[in-house]
Amino acid sequence: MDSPIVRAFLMSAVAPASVAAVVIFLLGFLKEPWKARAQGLVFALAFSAGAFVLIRRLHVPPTDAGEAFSLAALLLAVFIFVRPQPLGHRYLVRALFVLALGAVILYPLRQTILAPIYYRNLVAFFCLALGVWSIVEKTAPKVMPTTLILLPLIAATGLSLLMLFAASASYSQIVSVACALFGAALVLALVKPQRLSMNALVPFLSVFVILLMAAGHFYLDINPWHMIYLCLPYFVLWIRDWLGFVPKKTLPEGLILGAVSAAPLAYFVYNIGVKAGPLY
Amino acid sequence: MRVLAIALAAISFAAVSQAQAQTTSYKVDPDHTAIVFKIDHMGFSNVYGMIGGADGKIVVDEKNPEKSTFEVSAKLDTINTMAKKRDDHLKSPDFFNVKQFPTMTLKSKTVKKAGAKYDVTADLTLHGVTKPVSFTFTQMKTGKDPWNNVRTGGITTLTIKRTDFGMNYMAKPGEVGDEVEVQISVEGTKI
Repeated sequence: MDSPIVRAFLMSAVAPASVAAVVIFLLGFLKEPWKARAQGLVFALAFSAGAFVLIRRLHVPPTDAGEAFSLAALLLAVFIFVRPQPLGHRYLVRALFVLALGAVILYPLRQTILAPIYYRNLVAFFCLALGVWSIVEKTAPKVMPTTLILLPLIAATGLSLLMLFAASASYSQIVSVACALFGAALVLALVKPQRLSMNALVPFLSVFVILLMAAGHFYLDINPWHMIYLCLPYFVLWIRDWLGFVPKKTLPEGLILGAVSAAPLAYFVYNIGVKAGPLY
Repeated sequence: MRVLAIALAAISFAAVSQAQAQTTSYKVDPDHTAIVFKIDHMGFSNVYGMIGGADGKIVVDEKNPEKSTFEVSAKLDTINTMAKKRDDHLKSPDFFNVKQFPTMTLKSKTVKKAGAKYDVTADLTLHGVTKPVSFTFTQMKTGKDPWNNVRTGGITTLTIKRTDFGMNYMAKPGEVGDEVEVQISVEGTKI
């Protein structure tokens, strides 16, 4: 454990994810909607704890993206607490909530973000967040829980790497906290899927990841098209019904759809990494 | 009566002019102002860098040095450590987060003459955080340059902890240093 980077990963990502996995497992005996409420809160607190271990500060209102991510996660938990069921066709509620989350994530940039040069991309990420949230919610009953968690995990991992190549190790580490939590949920979904509330996880797997991508663009100037490419796993989820040849079983579905999503992204992220050069 | 009023006005004008003549304002010369910092690199050696783009105003009161003031800022996107990848990393949110906090500012609070030097307390604003700092400023020379501009200048060194300003990335012992030594060499031209 000599490496500070490995130590930081273990303390900020692995530890909160392990604790969250145990607590979520124990809370799995609750009935809906309380299961969703409790597990959503645990997820948000674990993420915020991991982010706090990394950046060691949390102010309200947030002073930078790291703090904004934590507050957005907690706001998402509040939303899940108020509205633990899927939103369905309530697009206005969904839109208002995406706006609120986006405002929290981008609050530290408020003095520069409301410029015409950013309007197009703000609208684009808003629509992307709405769309992906809808897709994941509608796909949730149609795929195995492991697949529903694995594909967003692939997207989030790609995002963490892109942030690292954009010279922001700290934001990359914060996104890897989310990846570790998704990984813990994936393990639970493999072992005891009935203990997991997908109503609690869907918002984190969808809109939260997209807003982290938006932060990657607005804070680190990562090309927004790169974020569109990272959404390939969500596209694969969207077309799941058309992939009838993929068996509806945990391992085969996860492996096939995971490979279909991960392979092109791995190639894309690898090329970005080669262009970025050795890490500093 | 009218003569008295005119006399009073003349005396008041002379008094104000005299007071103004005691203070001299200087505009910071960015080409002759340097901010150099030194930081420990994991115990292996020190890394040195420079920050440019200095701007600001210095007001010197020769008769009452305690009334002298200054406000100087520097542009953090000019940071140069002779390694582009390191400079990009320093500008990223891991360190200075230049996109969100493009400048650092030093604004005086108190100035006390201490022999040939000045004991100064000032507010340093860096990474969105303002903290008081204290240092001793040595004024080197005030006079005319070869182009007849009146100049003043001096140097100072101060030490800050970057974690005090929220720059916590890799700041633990054995990692990149927390304490940063900053040397400022400043010149201003009379305005």
